[in-house]
Amino acid sequence: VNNAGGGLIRPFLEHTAETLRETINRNLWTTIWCIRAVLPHMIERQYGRIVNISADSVHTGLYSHAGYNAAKGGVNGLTTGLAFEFAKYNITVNCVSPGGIMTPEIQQMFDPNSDVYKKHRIVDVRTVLAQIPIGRLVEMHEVAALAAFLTYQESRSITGQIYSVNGGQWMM
Amino acid sequence: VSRKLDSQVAILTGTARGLGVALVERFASDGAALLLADVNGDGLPEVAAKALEAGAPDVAWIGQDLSQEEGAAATGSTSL
Repeated sequence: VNNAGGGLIRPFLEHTAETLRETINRNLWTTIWCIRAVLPHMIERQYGRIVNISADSVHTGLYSHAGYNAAKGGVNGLTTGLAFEFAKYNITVNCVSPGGIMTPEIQQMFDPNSDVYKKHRIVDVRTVLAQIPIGRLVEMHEVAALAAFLTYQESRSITGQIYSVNGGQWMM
Repeated sequence: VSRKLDSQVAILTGTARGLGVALVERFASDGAALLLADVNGDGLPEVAAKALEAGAPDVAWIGQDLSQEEGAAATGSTSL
């Protein structure tokens, strides 16, 4: 499960070359290198389940997310391409794409005076919350449950898919 | 009781905090043996302890910069 990520969320022109590169490195190159490291072993075993953690901001746009979305959109593209190429080895490749989830970091973003808010210069998370039909952010264990399901034996026919877990914020 | 990931090995990245910890807890309770990887290796022993509590039969961890090919390769070749 490729969950490693990070980097900086900020208005595009406020990025430096370094922060943009770090954002792409941490969200896209981590996934590329890890998959390249494990695929030969999966092919040898004729079995593998790869789950990439993407982000629904690729679909919604979301203020200050352009650099981050460039990386996560790359993860989505990687997912479909690999799913096609390696299906014959009984290897599935899917994405779980969270919307607003209640991580400890996002919890701090409810306070515009918090360090996290200042670091990412992100939009007030309450305006995001107002767009979510279920009326709350998604819990982390709910995202983890879908990621786990996609690794079960019984998920063998599911590949090349991008699954949102977003409380209905973005549909289809 | 058989669990969905008994006898499976899962490599989970970005597991020192946040969503990564929730993934560890879920895969552990599903019975997978785990390899945890994060650039922040210092945070991993504590998460590994949580994994054992949650039911993982075996847990290893490795601190590596996965945005570098060498870091990812070292992670991939680490066997439990």
